[in-house]
Amino acid sequence: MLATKFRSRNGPPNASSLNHGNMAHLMQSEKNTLLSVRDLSVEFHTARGVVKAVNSVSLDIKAGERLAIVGESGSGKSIMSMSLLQLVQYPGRITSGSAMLEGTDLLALKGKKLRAVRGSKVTMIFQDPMTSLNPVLRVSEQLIAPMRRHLHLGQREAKERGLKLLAQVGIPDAEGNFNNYPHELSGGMRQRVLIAMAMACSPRLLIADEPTTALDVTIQAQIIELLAKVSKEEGSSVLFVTHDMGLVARFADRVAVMYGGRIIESGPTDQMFENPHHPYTRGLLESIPSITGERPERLSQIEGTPPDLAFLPKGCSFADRCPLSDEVCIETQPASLTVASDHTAACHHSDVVASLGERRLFDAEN
Amino acid sequence: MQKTEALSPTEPADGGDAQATTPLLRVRGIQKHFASSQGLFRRSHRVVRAVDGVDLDIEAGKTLGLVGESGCGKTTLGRMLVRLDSPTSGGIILDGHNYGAATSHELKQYRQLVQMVFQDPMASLDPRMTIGQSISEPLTVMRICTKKEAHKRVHSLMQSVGLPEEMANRYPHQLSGGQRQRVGIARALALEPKVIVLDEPTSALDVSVRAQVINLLRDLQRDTGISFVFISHDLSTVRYISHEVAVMYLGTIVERGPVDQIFESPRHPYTRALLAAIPIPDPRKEKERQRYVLTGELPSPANPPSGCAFRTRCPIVTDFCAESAPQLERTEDGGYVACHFASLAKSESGSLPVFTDVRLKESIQQ
Repeated sequence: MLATKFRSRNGPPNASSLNHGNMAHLMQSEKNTLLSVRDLSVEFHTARGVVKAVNSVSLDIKAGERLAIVGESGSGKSIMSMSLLQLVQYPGRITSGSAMLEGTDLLALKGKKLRAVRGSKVTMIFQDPMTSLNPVLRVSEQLIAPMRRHLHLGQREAKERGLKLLAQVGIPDAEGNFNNYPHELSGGMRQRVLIAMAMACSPRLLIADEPTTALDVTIQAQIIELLAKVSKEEGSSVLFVTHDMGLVARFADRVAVMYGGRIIESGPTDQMFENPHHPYTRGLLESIPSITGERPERLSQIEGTPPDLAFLPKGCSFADRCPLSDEVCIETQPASLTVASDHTAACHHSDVVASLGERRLFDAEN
Repeated sequence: MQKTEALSPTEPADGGDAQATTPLLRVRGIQKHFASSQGLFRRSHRVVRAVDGVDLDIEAGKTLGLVGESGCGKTTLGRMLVRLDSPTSGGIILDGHNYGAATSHELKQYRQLVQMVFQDPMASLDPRMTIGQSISEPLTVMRICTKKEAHKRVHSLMQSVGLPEEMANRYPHQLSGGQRQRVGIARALALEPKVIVLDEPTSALDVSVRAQVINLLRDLQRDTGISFVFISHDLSTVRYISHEVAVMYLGTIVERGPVDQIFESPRHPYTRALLAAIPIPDPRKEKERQRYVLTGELPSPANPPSGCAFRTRCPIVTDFCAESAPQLERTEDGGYVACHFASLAKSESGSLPVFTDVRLKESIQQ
């Protein structure tokens, strides 16, 4: 989708990444960090004041890793992921930070260099597949565009690869659907086309912003399996933005939880679910009703509502909803501390949260 | 247009049903067909069978969960239950009266007894009316009490849904999503109905706020003995709040029964597929889980498959399924299921019966 906008035909040589050395490169750098985001902040200057959508976020994604960003609407998770490709629009502004991907700072790129990265090295799929496909262009044109642009393929080669990609993402009758318009496809099929487009240039990083939220559960299951499959085949890392803890458990290697524009906890998926160190993570897990086991009399509920990003409190942004909060929380913002290997949490009382065991933190009383 | 077969109010619920109590609200053979015009000059008419012969019983003080994918007709069914849409045929029997083809005078009476809460509280509240006006509107429209009394009622209604009194003078845009949904619930409660139909009441809400609304609904039911029809695709919430569950597929109910039976020993392959598709927020369980990804998509209700509607996606399909449509039949554990091979699926909770079918094997191997 992104690539269709770019008309320039002279891409820099590094845009080509359809080579078979890819896997070897991956093996060599398996433990290496692919993307390293440091101190990223995004602000929106509005009539209401400065909305701090993202507040000095730092995160790392290893090569081939699937990282889930979890948060509610307004937590800054979408803005954060969009800012990596500089897709935040006025009045939004990236005010600080860097995002190093294989030696280049994604946030410092401009013009041609930026366009060369978008849609090739780093690609993105969005929540609503209908709005991210151009309704007046055939699937074929949209699918071929990034390959022509970034891989410098000829029309015939691009078409061949396009058909292969459509088959790879499980579109039945790829030949027949190739020349269809987006409206002739179902929601699940459209999302498959987008995945095909995103994978067309074997990206190093795929950003998927709530890719299944608009889909039904049975289709969601298909798309998740597909994302896992294609990212593994291409060796791409995935930054997966979602609000569904179930999907995180199914898909992600690591999780970062966002709240009030900050990453408040991050760690390996197993550890995060088994032993969360932040009360908000804990609350999220406690409040989800299970589809197996006993049904409690009441669900744990987190009181109140997420903070207004235009008026973030001085201290911890979760303090007013947190059962553990005290004066320290209201006064000072907790720093992100390492609580276990590869596991960080930003809470003054993370030790209390960690020691809860089976007990509930958020009681079910009114 | 409306031809309703005469259903005598004293007719027993089901031919040989030995139910101790008569259900509060009975739905019998309800259908909704939409005519869709196509072709040159819109001459060729096709009929979309959005709801195609559904029977339901809603018990007093209980919750019926209605689940299914988008396009399965669950919303149309919900709208018919409050008579926002009039059924093409079939009966809706409340307190011995059939409101299936009620006149507008009868409908006024009916709508006092059956109310609705919609998915998007922002879209269903008038932006130019204060919260207090919105909640009191049904009272004044139905001429139940004077404005002064209505004013008092508003305060007690707001209290019962956990909204502070001073909010009565605010406008919908000044409220958070969770608070707006509370207003929607308070407005539905205003006429003291016997049944509230809730169409995806928590889908538009954030995860941490969802539990608040679910707990509120449970409390209201406990205190007032009201019945709910809870329409949702979120199965974990449905499991938590419902006493009975009905699973819809392409306009018909494929399985219904007590909530534990549906979730612990589902009989219909579609119910099993739905349950398997829900990601569980527990990475360990997710890894152990059998992957059973349903292939294909929901067929168009304008052109449904012959025989069993699910046969195009069913892993255990046989030639027989194309010839004859299975009817809802009673199972020995108190549920109803519409599948020729439901008995084969017995007592293998959580896992699918092993068939030599190639498609099933494929889907498991994925």
